[in-house]
Amino acid sequence: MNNIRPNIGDPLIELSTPSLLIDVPAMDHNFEVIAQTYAGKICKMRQHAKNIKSPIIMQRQIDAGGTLNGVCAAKVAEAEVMVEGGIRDILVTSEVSSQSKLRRLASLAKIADIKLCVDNPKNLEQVSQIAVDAGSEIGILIEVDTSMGRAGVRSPEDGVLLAKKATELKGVRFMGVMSHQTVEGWADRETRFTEGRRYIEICLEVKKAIEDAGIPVEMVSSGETFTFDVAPEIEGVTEVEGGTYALMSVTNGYMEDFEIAAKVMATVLDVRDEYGFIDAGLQCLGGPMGVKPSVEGHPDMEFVRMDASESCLRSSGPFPFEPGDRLFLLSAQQDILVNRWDSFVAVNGNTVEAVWDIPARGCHH
Amino acid sequence: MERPVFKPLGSSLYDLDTPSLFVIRDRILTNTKAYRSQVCEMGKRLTPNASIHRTPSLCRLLNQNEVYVNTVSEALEFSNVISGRITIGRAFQPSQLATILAISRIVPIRVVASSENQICEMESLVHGKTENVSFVLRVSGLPEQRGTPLKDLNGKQEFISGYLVSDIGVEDSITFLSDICPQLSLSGLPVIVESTEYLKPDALDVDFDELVEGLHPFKGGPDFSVGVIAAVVSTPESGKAFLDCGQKAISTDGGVPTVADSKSLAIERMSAEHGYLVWKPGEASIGLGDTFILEPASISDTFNLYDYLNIVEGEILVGLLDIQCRGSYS
Repeated sequence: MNNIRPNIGDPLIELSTPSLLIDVPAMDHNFEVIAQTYAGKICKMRQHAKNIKSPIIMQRQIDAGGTLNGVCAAKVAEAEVMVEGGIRDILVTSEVSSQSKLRRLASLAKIADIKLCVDNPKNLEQVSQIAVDAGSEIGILIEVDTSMGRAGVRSPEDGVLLAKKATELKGVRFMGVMSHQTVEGWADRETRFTEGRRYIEICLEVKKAIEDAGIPVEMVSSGETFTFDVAPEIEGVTEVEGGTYALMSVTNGYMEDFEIAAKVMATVLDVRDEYGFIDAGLQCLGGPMGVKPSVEGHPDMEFVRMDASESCLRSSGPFPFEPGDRLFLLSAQQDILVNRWDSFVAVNGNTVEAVWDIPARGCHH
Repeated sequence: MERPVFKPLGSSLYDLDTPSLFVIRDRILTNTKAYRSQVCEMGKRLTPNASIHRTPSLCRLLNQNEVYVNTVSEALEFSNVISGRITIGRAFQPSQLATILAISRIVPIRVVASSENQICEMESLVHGKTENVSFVLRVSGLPEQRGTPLKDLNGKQEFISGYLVSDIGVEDSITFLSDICPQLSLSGLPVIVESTEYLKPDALDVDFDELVEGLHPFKGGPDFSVGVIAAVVSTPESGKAFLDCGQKAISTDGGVPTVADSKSLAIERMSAEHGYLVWKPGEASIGLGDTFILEPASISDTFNLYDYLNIVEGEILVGLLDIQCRGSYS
């Protein structure tokens, strides 16, 4: 990990680079949007820890309002970090098949309200047995594939079979259904609402089938950042799994209610004509499948190449920075970015306000 | 940080918590020894690029006593383990002077700068404080390469102990190096080549003195030597399974990984948390909990995602090392 850590009160200009910054007012603005959107609604936000990986920040949204006081976690280890950080209501949104991880989850369920998604009857039996052995109870949500072709049941009938099984087994408690979905490209408001509704309705069809079979469904966990304002308008949805909205990324810039709050500050190492070389590369920025960040305030600037520890940029004219100048990079894939850092430097204006560890970074397990 | 369920040494590779990063000890040792011999036979010096594996303890295993790293913070970590010279791939900032001086009390440092001006500035900072810091000038052979353009070298060699040229962004390394290295050799100073991909031994015929290369322990042999073990968590339809290893646990910065020792299985794509394993109907029977070994397309970036490196031999866990320089970016 980085052996240089800033102090509260340090001026921004004195930070070592590259540094991962959070613009605190921008993030708080995003949290306030959620608080206002969900005020007085049955449906609430369940913020996703996979994006932020820091219980201190997750708690900040809970304190701001609009949530159900719980969070999502992508992995068991991430759930452990959230519980250790004081959050007591966790939905693990990925299936878990390993015995040792399920044992960890069952132990966690003794001190926190743990829910897990499943899409397979054998897996459900496994969860049940391990929870019984541990003397705990795990809430069960059936994952529904609505559009992405990923995990999840493919039909209402499969959902009903799993729900019935969950009501019959010990150590588990059937709670409802959940789904993930995405929208491709730059989506306008109409597209978001049309596509979002269509996907969520698929999840609700499974809910209805389960209820028609006589099994009560108390939770429908669906939606994400792009449907943060769509899902609460759909009857039956009880919570939204949003994550990206907190820090945002340039690829989600069509979500105009939110501001980009995460930036990487980098230093220009060298300049030649229209080319500039900076001290931030793939390892600190991430570039999955060729996705590249943007330079704040310089839409004409492009990444020619990202190397392990530095990058080459090209401007449409002479490179507008000198060696030693600082510039700010905006991520195109925010949770991949955050997963490469051990701490956020929280800044307000030009001053360090806090340094927040990212304890769930690298929690792959 | 990473929180696996640790398994005792002697455990099977297939019992490791998934996803986990591992290297195969005998293969990386064999690859390293063979490559070092080839470089040596050609009369050149090999400086391993340790920023690839970011694991100081691995230097001991691989007998790497002089290393190249990208950043000052990496150099600080490696200086606790090795006794030879550390080369740092870019100029240090005035704010890093104290760290540089501290490291130079332990091991010699060589700093690669982009320009003679940078070298003069750094020299003035260390002047009278240490004799253990030397400087190399990075030479650029392409507009998109950082460094002083070849045509701008003015023959002055004050404070410059060598020239470094990188093959980064170059399509044909041998042709590129064959053109630029002889011109640099005319200076009489050592010419150092920084190879950013695995430099095949046939490039060693080119006229240069020292090679900076870090992928040879992992790519130098016919069989894979570094992998991530992952497990199936969902089998929602025929011919498709989902692994618990996505872009956060294996880098896709250089493309999707491949499935080791398999012709019928492939990774179709990856999300942040999951890998999409596909196969043709009838060619495999895959169930929940089955494990697979994925070979990363980008080894360096994958090391940077983990805090622990499992060392295996004969599919048995024989060591566990801290990847201490994970996240050492500045």
